Amino acid sequence: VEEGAAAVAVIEQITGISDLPVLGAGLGYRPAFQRDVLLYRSQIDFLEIVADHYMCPGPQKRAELTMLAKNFTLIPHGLNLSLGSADGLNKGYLARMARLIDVIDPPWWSEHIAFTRTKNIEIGHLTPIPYTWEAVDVFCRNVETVREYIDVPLILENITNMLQLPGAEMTEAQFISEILTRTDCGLLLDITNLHTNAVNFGFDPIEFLEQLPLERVVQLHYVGGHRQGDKLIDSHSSDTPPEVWDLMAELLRRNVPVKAAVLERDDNLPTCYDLLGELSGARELGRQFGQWA
Amino acid sequence: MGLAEFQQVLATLYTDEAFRRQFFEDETLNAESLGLNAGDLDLLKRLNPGEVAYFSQSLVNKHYSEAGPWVPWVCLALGNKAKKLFQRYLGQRDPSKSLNPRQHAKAFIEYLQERSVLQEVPAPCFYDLLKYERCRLMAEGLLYLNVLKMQYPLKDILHVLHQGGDLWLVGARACWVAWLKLPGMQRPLQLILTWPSFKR
Repeated sequence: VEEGAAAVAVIEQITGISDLPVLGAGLGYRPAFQRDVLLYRSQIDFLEIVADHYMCPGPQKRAELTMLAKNFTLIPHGLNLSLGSADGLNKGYLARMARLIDVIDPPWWSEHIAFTRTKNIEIGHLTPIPYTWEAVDVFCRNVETVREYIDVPLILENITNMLQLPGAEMTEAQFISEILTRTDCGLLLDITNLHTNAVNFGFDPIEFLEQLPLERVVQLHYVGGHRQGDKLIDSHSSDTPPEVWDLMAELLRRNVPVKAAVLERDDNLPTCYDLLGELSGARELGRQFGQWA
Repeated sequence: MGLAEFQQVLATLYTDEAFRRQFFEDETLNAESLGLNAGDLDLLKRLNPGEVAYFSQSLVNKHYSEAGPWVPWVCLALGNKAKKLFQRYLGQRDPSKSLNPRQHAKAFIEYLQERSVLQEVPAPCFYDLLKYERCRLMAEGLLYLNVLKMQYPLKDILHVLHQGGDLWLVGARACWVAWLKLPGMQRPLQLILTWPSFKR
């Protein structure tokens, strides 16, 4: 156990994850919130922006980005880097991401544990990677390529799986652990995605958590989805359900040094004001477990 | 089979309806024709066809929900056919190109402008509406100037759509729509001129 703890300490020292600043309760920024985020600035600790929306900005987007950066700490969240692609990364996309990060200068940035493209097909959505050793190698190699362009800490997010791929050589939790261990990345743990997968595929989310290197969790995502038949759909379209709050509390209870939590609402978008209650709930939960003030 | 080939087949299953149908329904499907060996094919056949189809449909829904708001009047004019047509547009486009929602919307309009894709003959002013939405989407960048001549009055078309009326009721009148965007302007200025300015 002592050796394990020492190893964790060494990894943290190398990656600098423990040195990342505590940001608190943030909001996933959507253009509809443009005016309101300034109005409620004191109740929003930081913003997460969809990086893809600002990579080739027109004058309007550039002005929006400048305004946001002037008033908030911004965390860029990428959608289409496709770190799981065996065909390698799109260098043009990577260079645009690097430029954006250079402009924003965030404490960290995030992408998904997924693939979104092959050499001649743009899927246009996050899709699961087969959990094999070859896929671990591919993923880690792609992260190494990213490092050549961007030296800001990268954190990786677990996705919602709408289908199970055959031929898995390990579980999703083992796959995540393996890539975190072999790269210097942190974890963006999407609590809603974990809950959704647990319901849809019938596993225990606590057991899943126990298989992860929780000391690598930097940021959380949370939101509500909707039910379609017996399936939960990760539509980011409703208030965060009690099960997700409970799971978040269960994680924080384990003294995981989380730096930030982001409410990630997209569809059925309420006003910014209507979301402040959930931000306040996350802030309170963090305070309760000594995570953030 | 390597991971690259595995992902290639997965991506095709997600994005190509005809291939998906053949893959799951054709018992005589030859592994070699897909660049796979028999073991690989058996492995991939263990995918749940329902899950794959569901995921594929969710991709269509996602693209439509993102691109549709860029061409709201055309979607309104097409009503419940809009999404089906958008799905057909996605099915025939070059899957290697990455498009943002605005670019998808523009490509969708261009697809609709090939008259044969619409099975029912739309009201003549619908083609003016397509031209209008396309020009509107092009009004970006630092500097933009464009004038569109229409055979049907834009205001009447939009009014009928807004009221849920029938586009066949819109009568022909010459109409010009101009867009002007100068550096520093966040949105283009849009001017509409109809002649004669009143309905006869």
